[in-house]
Amino acid sequence: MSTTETFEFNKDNLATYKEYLTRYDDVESALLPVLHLAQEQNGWLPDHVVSYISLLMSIPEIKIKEVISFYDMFYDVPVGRNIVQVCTNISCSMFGGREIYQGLLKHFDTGYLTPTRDGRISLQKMECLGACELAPCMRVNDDFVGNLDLTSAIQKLEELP
Amino acid sequence: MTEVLKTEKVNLKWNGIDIQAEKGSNLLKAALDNGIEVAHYCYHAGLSIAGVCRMCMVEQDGNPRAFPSCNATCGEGMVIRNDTVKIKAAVESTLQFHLLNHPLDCPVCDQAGECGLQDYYMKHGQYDSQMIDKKVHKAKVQDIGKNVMLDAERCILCSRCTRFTEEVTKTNELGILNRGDHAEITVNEDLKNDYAQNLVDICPVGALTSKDFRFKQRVWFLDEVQTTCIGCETGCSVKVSQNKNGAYRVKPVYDHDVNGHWMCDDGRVIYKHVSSPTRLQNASENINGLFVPVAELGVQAIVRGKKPKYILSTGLTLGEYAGFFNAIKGSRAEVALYTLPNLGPEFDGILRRGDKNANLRGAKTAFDLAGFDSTQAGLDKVLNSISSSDVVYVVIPEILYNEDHFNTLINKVEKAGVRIALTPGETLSSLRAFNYLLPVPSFLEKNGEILNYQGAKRTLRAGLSYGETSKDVSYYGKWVNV
Repeated sequence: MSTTETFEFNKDNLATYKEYLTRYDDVESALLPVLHLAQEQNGWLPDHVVSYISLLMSIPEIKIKEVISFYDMFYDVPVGRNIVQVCTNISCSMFGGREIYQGLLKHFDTGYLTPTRDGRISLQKMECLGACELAPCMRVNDDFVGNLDLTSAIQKLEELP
Repeated sequence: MTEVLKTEKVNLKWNGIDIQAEKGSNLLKAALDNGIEVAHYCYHAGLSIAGVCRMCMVEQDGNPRAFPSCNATCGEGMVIRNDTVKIKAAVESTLQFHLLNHPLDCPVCDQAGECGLQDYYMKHGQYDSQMIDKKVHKAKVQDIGKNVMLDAERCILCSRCTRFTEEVTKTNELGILNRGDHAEITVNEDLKNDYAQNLVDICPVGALTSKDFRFKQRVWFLDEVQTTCIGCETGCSVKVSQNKNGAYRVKPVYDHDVNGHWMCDDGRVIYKHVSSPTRLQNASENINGLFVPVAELGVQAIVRGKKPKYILSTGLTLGEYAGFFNAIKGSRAEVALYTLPNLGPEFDGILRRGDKNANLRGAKTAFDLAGFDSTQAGLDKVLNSISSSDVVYVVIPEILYNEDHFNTLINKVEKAGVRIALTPGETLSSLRAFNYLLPVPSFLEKNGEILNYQGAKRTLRAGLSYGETSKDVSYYGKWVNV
């Protein structure tokens, strides 16, 4: 299905890509920012995006897939418009982080990373987000939302576009 | 493989024993070269250093931390120990960690008997499991192409295979996806390199097994005979695993000058014709397309008085050529050489060569010495002069990569009154053109030497013996005078 799809950096991103290359001594080091850039443009990183980056940077596809599968913030499955990462590490768990995550899954009737039916939200269970002072906390796209309970979490997410 | 000969040596002490090592080589290699056993999984002399298995830990005098010996360079006067309590505890814990998710399926695993985990477990194992969590299960029985089967949960992530596809074949099919407990070897697309079976050899556990060999035989029922591959003119050093029922597999043997650590996939199947059920084992007569055993004396009676013409193959040993030309010396026999056509590129950049004639150089030398023409023109001359009063002996090449090319030769031979095939292999359907089939030894049934593309002498060693296959071409050469 994805074999017929194509992907290419748009003009702005291609310029950004070239700027990234100048930051590092070798091409491989620029892979992480380049993957972020591609994910920003495409939403997630399917095989045809990997092939494009592989050709562009002359890095074998499997090496790119290794990186994508290693890190939680790269998605090799389709995700919703908004990514919501709920922390379930020690501090947040002590304040009910796991229960909030389970409650959100139930409320939106979805599973780990599976987009909600309207394609609005993907929920992701995370280990430490590095914001223990906000426990229990979650990250909505690029913003931290802290001192949550299930009701306020649901309320916050229902406001999302 | 470095071509530079490092002759400079350094002295070091390993567990109190004085050893010498090449300057600049790593500690683990120094120990192994000196016959000291050091447990290791990820280190392989033909690959880069990864330092991921943490099994080869050592202690150095004056260094408070233990470190992996594969990633440390030999220095003059180093005092190294790996028999201390601290190291033993470290290796035991590391092995325990390696075995966390390893399934207990040794009884059905093909690697059993030559498995790194089994070997080291006997030495460094904890025996009583402390596991309270369930093992992580991963995909088993994955056919990843090129006769390689992958069992992801047996893998200990030593990364030898990914380094092989990255560094040796440069095809990058394999990688380690995911992280931590879930990390597993994965193929991007099916294996496509022609050296894939080496992955099975370098895998220290049963994660990568050979589809051709698996479930055929237990390794402890096999003997290994070190010989030379006859698949092409490279002449790689190989060992053939076999027992009285036949040959089962071919594996490379390290040879610095010829093949290094590896061999190609084509070489893995060179044993097939030897223990094939249709292997010719006795003199046979062709009766309406059926090969029926016949007394050798009967064949001798038929060829009596006829003019003999021999077409030899390029796969015979130096001894066989010499013996043959000695046998026909002074007779009116004509001799020509059938050369296998080139297949693929002249050299694929790693080991495999397009010239599939294992001993072309040896054959040419022997022909020149005996005063016969070994060229294609010589072959054509003999073929064109065949008449019905002739008896033609054709030595069938052991491995026919291009059967059509050989069939054109057979078509030309059909004019002869008596056609005899001397075959070291199977009774192919194309051999129906011959009146008689006589068995000759295959490369696994004879001792001798061949000259490879470098002109270096490579040794063939006999391991098997089948039926009446011990009589070689020099024996049949003597028939010229009957």
